[in-house]
Amino acid sequence: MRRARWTLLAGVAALAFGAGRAEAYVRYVSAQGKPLAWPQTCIPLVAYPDDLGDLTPAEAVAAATAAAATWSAEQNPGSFLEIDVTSATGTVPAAAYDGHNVLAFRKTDWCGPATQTGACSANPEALAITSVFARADGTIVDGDIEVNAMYFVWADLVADPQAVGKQDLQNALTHEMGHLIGLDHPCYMTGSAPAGMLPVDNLGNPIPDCADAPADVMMSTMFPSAMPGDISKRTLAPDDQLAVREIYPKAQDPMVCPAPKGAAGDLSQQGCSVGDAPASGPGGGAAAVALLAGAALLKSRAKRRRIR
Amino acid sequence: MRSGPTLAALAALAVIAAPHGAPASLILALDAPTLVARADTIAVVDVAASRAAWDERHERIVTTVDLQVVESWKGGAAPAARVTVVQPGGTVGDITMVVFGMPRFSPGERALVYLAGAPERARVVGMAQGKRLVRPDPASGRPMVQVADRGGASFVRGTRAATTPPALEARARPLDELRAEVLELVARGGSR
Repeated sequence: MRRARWTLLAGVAALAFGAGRAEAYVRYVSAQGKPLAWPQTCIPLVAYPDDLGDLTPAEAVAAATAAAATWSAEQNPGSFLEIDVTSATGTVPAAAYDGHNVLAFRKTDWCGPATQTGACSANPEALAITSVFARADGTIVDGDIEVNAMYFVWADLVADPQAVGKQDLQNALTHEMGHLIGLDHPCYMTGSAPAGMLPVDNLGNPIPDCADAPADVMMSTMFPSAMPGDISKRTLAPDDQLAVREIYPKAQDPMVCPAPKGAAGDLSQQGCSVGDAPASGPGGGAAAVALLAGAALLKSRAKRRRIR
Repeated sequence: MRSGPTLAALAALAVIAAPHGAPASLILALDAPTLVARADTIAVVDVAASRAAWDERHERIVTTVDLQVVESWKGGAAPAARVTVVQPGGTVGDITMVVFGMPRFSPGERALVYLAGAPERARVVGMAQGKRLVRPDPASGRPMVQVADRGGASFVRGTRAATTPPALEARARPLDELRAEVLELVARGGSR
């Protein structure tokens, strides 16, 4: 798997960083160079909230829901994408290839330094980890976000700007959900790319060095660094908005909304959720159901929007 | 091996050290002394092989990377010895598991690595920031340690942020310079 498409330097860098930079974004690509994307309208994401100290389970779900809405169609006219957050209780599942997209808040089982490597993705230095399973053609079939609530304190820094030394959950989740839908960072670190090669954006232009990135790149939700107390990633920048509009354009809505997997009684349904796991995902075979359900679902969703 | 409480204390220290709240990045950015202190093995290595496989439950892909030690800066791995890294993520058949922030290894490349755990099943300290490519300077041929590939991760500037910049923000450095610095830190026993 490569992180981005690479192209020969060949003197084109100067062209890319000239004045009047066009809005752009970078997609994660498969080993075959295919950009990653979900094949469906809705991405069900099941949150397993916990009492995070500064945030109640309900507040944690609210932060996740707000982050999801930031990338979804209602806030991005021109896109069909819907990230549907529901919540569940019970044993928090592992990040796994199971067609069950999970947002896990781990308070007691984050890997420590002595944990057997390979046993979990939760590196002790990580605050949150996003794992995505994708096919070689770029089709994403599963995605999970794990939040380290064991070693770090999460808060709402808008409601409580004095929460010094804490992480803004909505800010972090908005960035992570950008990865969940297939986006990469809009800049790179000099020397980290193969010799003589530079990663490129959606326009084929080499992307800037993170250390010298233009202001509009630094302000994007997908920029890989932030200042202490930053909440700016809660809101998409024009580059991010362009990405979701172009990768998930309304005119190409596949009209498929898989239902979240999990214990049915635990789920508090929101948004559009009909069908089953995507055909391309594990435990598939429900493609026909999902496809048939999709049209009816999208119809009802559109109706719901008109009513609002 | 470090204990959980020690890590928690370090994390708490990092949080306290942040001057105005915490950034919303997602991996703790480690400075050079912390990288050295947390590593059981620090070595320049050649990547010999990398292979991915499903776990026993066919739920996760795990990649095993064989490294051949070129020079050892910390730990008991002698030159030519083998060290194995095991980490989640990788490609098996048509499916790739991407774990944002994990370092990527390609056979044939040379790298400086900071590893924790037993040499036969180690992990990279600080995820992507614990692996830096080593390449000759095109002009002089001098071996240079490149900056870390962020591996799709964002980083929290936490530990000693006010005085010591995170290691991943450092520019490419001559290998001999960095070797001297790391060996000095190792001699001091590392500091946190």
